[in-house]
Amino acid sequence: MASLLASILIDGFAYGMVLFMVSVGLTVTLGLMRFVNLAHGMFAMIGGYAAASLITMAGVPYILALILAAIVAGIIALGLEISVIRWMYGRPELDQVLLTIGLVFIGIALAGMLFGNSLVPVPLPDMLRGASDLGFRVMPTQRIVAAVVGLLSLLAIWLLLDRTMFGIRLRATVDNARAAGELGINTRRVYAIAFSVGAALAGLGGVVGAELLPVEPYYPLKYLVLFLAVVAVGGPGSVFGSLIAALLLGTVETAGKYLAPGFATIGLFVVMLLVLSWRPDGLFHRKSRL
Amino acid sequence: MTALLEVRNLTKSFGGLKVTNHVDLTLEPGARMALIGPNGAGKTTLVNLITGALAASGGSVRLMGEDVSALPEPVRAARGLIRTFQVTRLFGSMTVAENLRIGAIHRQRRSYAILRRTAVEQALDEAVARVLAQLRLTDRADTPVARLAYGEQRLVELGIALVMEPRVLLLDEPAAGVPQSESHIIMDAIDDLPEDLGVVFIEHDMDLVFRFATEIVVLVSGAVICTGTPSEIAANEEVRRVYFGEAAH
Amino acid sequence: MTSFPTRILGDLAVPLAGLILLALYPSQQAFLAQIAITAILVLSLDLVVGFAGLATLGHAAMFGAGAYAAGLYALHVWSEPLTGLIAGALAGAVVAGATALMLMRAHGLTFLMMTVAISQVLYEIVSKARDVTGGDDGLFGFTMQPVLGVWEFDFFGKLAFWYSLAVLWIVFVLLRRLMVTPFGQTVRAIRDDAGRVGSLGGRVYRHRVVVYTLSGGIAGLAGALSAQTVQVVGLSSLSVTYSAEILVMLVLGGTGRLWGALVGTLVFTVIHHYAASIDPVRWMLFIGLILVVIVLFLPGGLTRGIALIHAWLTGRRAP
Repeated sequence: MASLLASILIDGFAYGMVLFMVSVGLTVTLGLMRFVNLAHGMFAMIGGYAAASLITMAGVPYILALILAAIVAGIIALGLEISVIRWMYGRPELDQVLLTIGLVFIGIALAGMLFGNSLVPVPLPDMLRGASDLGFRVMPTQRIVAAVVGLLSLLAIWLLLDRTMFGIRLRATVDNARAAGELGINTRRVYAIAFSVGAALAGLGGVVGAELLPVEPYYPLKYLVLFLAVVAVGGPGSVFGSLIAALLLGTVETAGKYLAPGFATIGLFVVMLLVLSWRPDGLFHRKSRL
Repeated sequence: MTALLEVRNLTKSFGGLKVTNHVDLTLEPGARMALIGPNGAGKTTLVNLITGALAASGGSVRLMGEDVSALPEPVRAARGLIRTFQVTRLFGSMTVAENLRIGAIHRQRRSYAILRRTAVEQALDEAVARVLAQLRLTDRADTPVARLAYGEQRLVELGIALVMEPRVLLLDEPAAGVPQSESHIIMDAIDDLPEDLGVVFIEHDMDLVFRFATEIVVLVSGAVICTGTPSEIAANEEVRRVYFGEAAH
Repeated sequence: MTSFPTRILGDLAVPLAGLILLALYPSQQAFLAQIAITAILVLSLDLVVGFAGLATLGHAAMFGAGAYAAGLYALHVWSEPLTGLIAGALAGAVVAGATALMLMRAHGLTFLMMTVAISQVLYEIVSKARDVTGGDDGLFGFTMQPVLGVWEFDFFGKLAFWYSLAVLWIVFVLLRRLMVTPFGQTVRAIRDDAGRVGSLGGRVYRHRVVVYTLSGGIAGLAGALSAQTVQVVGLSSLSVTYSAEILVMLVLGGTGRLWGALVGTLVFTVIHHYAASIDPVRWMLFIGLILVVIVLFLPGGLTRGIALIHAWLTGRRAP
C-alpha cells in the first residue's frame, strides 16, 4: 500500500514536471500577450524530433542533444513569432484559435512527411537506460532524468524572472504593457523572447518526457487538452499556478493508470472539469503577477 | 417621500487600499447630482459599486427604498438603475437603431422572444424611434455605429441608456471626448430628461457642472469630502484648496 | 431590414442550390446528402461561434450524441425516422444544456479547453461502452422505416438527398428568422459586448446557455440524419478532429452570416471529395494552410470576399 502510494507520487511528480516544462511557456504567452496558442505543443514535438535525429543520425551525446533540441525549438518559435504570430496579438480570440489550430495541422503534416507516422524513440545513453534502485523501489532512470531536468528548469525560470534584467522587463510588461513601453522597454522584443524561451522549455519537456508522451506527428493535437488544462487549472498567467496544476494533474493521471487503467483519461478530465466548474479562473487566478 | 437612491457607508478595498471609503449619498427625484473630484478619486469605482458591476466590501445601496445591495448588476438595471460608460461601449457590429433596440428589448423584457410578433416589433420600434428623435439621430438610424464620429457615438451611448427609461441614471463623463461644439447636444438631452428622474453625472468640465447640477458631491481619495449646492461648493474653502488647487483645468 | 422579395429569395436559395447540385451531379446523391447534413451541423456551429462569439473545439460532441441516440433509438425503440430525428435533437440538446451550465462560467482558453475535454470524455465513454455502442466497430445493424410511411430509403441515396435537403431548408429558414428576433439580436449584442448587455439588465449566462442548448439540438438533429441515412455511427463523429474540421468549414465560408456556413461546407466538402485520392497528410497540410491564409488575409471568409468583390464591382462601400 505504502509502496503503491510512493510509486504514484514519484511517477506523478516526474510526469508533472514534464507537463510543467511543456506548459509554462503557454501560461506566460497567455498572461503576457493575451495570446491563445493552441500550437504550443508543437514545440515539444519539435524538441523530441530534433533530439531523436541528432542522436540517431549524428551520434550527438544525449545531454548535448537535449540542449540543442531546446535551442532548435526556441529558434523555430522565434521565426514563427516574428513572421506570423506577432500580427495576432490583440486580434479576436477566435482568430488566434483558428490560426494556431492551422499551425497545428501544418505541423502534423510536416512531421508526418519528414519523420513518418510512427512513434520516434529518443534513444537514451546506456547510463540513463534501465532502472535505478531508490532503496524502497526500483524505477526507470528516465523518470528521474525527467524530474531532475524539470527541477533545473524551474530553478532557471526562477532565476530568469527574479534575477535578470529581462525578468524585470517581463514582469513590468505583464503588469502594464503600455506603461512599460513608455518607460522605454521594448515590449515587442520582450514578447518575442518570452515566446521563444517558452518554446525552448517545451522542447526540453518534449525530449525528457518522450517516454511518457511519445513523439509522433499527432503529438500537438493528442496532448493539446493536457497542456491547456495545466494552464487553465493553474490560472492563466500564473507560473506558480501551472507548476501546482501540472503536479496535480500529473499525479491524478498517474494514480488513474495504477488504480484503474483504461479510465485514467476520463478520470483526469473529470477532475479537471470539476476544478474548473468550481473555479473557472483556475486555482491561482492573478491578473497582474507572474 | 423616499429617496430614489440611498447609498450608505459604501466601501471597497483592494488589498489594504480603500478605493471607496464610507460613501453616503442621497438622490431625490428630479435631482441632478454632479460627482466631481481629481483623477483617481474613485468616481468610476463608485458608479461600479452602485450598479453592482463591482461587489462592495461593505455598506448598502437602496433603490426607491428597497435594499439592492445583494442583487447582481442585471437585476439592479432591470429595476431602473442604469449607467453609461466613460469609454463608449456600443455594439460594434450593429447600426444606431439596432444598438438602441438592444436597450428597448431589455426594457420591455423581450430578450427571450424567439418569434417576431408584430405588436412586439412595433413597441420596440416606437421606443427606438422616440429616442432617435430626442437625440436628433433619426437620419443616422441605419448607419453602423462603427462609422459614426466620436461625438455621435457618445450620443448613442446615452441613447442606449435613455431607451431603458431609467429611474436613476448614472452618467460617467457623458461629454468626454466630444468636441466642445457638440457637447451641448448631449447636455440638452440630459436637460430634457423626465423631471422625476434622478441623475448622477461625473464631469470634469466645471462650466457644465455649474450649469446643470442641482447638487455637487466632491470625492477625493475615495471619500466624500463635501456635499452641497453649486453655490455652496463654489464658496467652500476646502474644496477650492483640495480640488481646484490641485487639479486646475 | 431586407426587403420582402430579397427575404423570400434567400429562403428559396437552399432548395435552388440543391436542385442545381442535383443537376450537376445526378449520380452522387448520397454525397450531396452528406453535404446537406454537414451544412446543418456547420449552421449550428455558426450559432455558437459566429453569433454568440464562443470559440469551441467540441461541437462534434453534440453531433455524435445525436447520431448515437438516433441509432440506438432505431435499433431498440422504433425505426420510424421522424421521431428518430427528435430523439437525436433531444440528445444533442441535453448534452449541450448540461455541459453549458458548466461551460458558460468559463471564458477564453479555459472555455475552449473544456469544450475539448467534454467531447473527449464523451468519446471515451462511448468507446468503452462497447456493449451498447459497438465501441471502435461503430453502431450498425439498424434499418429505417419509410419516411412518413411513404418514401423508402434506397441504396443510391435518392431519398437521403431529398430528406436531408428538406431538413436543411427548414433549419436554415428558421435560423434566418431567429437571427432577427429579439432573442437573436440579444445574442449578437452579448457577442459584441457582454458586460454592456449586463448593464442593461440582460442575463448573459442564461442567454448563452439557451443558445448553446439550441445549437446542440440542431447539431444532434444533423447527427440523427447522418445515422439514419448512412445507417452506421462511428466514433469519429465525436472526435475533436471532426470538431476542428467543421470549424474550418465555417471559417472558410465566413462566421456570423448563415450563408457562410452553407458556402464553406459546400466548398470544403467538394474539395475534400476530389482530394480524397491524395494522402491524408497532405490534406491536413492543405487545411492548415487554408486556416492560416484566411485568418491573415481574408478574415470573414469567402462570403466576405464575395461581398467585397460585389461592393467593388458596384462601386459601393462594403458592408
